[in-house]
Amino acid sequence: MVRPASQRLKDLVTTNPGGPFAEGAFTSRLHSRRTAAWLGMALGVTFGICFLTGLISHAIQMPPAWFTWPSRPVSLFRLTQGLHIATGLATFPILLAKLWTVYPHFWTWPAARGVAHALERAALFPLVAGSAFLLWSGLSNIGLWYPFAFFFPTAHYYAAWLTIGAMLVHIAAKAPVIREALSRRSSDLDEPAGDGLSRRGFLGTVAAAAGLITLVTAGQTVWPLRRLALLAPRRPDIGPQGFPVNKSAKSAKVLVTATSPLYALTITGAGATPVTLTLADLQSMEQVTETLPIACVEGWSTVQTWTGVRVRDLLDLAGAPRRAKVRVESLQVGGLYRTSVLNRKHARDAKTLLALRVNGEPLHLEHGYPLRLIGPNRPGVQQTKWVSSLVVLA
Amino acid sequence: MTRVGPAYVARGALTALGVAAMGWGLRGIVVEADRVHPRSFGTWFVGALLVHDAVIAPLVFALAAYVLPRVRPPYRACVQAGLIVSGVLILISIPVVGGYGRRDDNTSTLPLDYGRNLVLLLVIVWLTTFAVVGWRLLHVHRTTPKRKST
Repeated sequence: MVRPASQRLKDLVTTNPGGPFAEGAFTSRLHSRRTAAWLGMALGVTFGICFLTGLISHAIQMPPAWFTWPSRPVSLFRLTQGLHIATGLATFPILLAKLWTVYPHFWTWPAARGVAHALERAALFPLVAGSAFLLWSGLSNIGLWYPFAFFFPTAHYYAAWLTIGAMLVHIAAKAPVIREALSRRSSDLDEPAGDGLSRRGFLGTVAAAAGLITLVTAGQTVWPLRRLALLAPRRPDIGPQGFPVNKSAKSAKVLVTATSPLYALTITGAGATPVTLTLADLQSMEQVTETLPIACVEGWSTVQTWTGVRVRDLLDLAGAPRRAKVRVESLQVGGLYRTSVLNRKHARDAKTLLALRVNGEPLHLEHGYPLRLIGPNRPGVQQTKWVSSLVVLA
Repeated sequence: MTRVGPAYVARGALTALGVAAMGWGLRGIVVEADRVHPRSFGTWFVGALLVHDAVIAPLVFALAAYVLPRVRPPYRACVQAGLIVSGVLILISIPVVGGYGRRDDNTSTLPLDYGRNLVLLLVIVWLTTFAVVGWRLLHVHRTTPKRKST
């Protein structure tokens, strides 16, 4: 008997093709809802931490009108950004374990049981793709590796909104399952017998992997752990004058201008009397020494002792208004981070310096010789090097 | 029938919040297309998913299917743990071991011998794994229950 084409098509769509689609194709007892729920809870926490600390970093660098990032506590950004990177790195084993645990569901048959099921599955696309994208692009960025055309901060930022949104939708969809799986009455509570890792052993292994990753990378910002930082892209004690550099003098094209005998700092802008100061003028002003961190958005940080002139003393010298913002400009040629803005709190903070020296020596050219900005509680990209002018903003 | 209670309302609100956040992300990708480069972004976004689902996950299942039957049951858990930790360490060290971000004009970037460091860590992981296996080997007659006949 020859079946009609429509019947054959229907059979094709409804018959389980076997292989990974077959019932019982995945045999490990670890593919359970309880394992997935525990890992999901952990991801909720780590993604939450990364999202919040990421929002802070974004707001500091692209401040909306209502937002003024404080200049104290001195090391607040160091803490939030260090946490962002360390948490992201520790998330790798948790995310991989979670995806492994639920992987059999990828091979669900039929692929969609109805519109609601289809939508719920479709919503997993931004969640899984977004999570993998965020971790991988972040890892690539801290390794200073840019094989992509997109501008990392902006792409990572909007991918985070997509992913956190998809995560909320997922939590809402799965709430009853999570609740059941984690309850004392869960049908998953007693594990089937078997060899290999138990649920507890598996979760413990994932935690151990996360801990080990933290141990061998956190030393890029946690000074006592620096010798254990075997896989960290930076060591806080390696670089010219004993600490790292991000933008080199050569790539900033300042080799000639920064070492020129004609170098001078200018102060101009709204409400300021234009002032020009030579290096000798700056050296003859009151010198202040402060111990402040440089905290890079890429997660490394280091504390050094800086000596120089207070920015607020320079602003007072030029008669700038007390509540003004100030743009700090570099000799650097081009680049998004050629300038940075001091909001009114940073501009007036007694610890915000234009430094001439670090740890008692004149600044190395790589660290911004002859003059660099160093202020409390700022991302490293906003600690402008090779400073040529202060422009008071209206 | 679905009961409309506070939990149901909360789940609805969470879904709405999630959809709004995703909308904000999409809007940003369109509005700041000059920085996000949607084509490049899309390639890496979908690519990250494909690399996981079509490469990493099948590799993990294949490796487990090959290795675990060759390990005696009492030691499987240890070997699984060793493989999981090793796999993740290898994955996260790809950028630094590859040294793609190293710059000639900046010696403070990627300053370490990461290949050597990774090998050192893997040696420590497997020494630990075999130490636990050895310990179990010595105690196995006391700790392993009788095989069940299934």
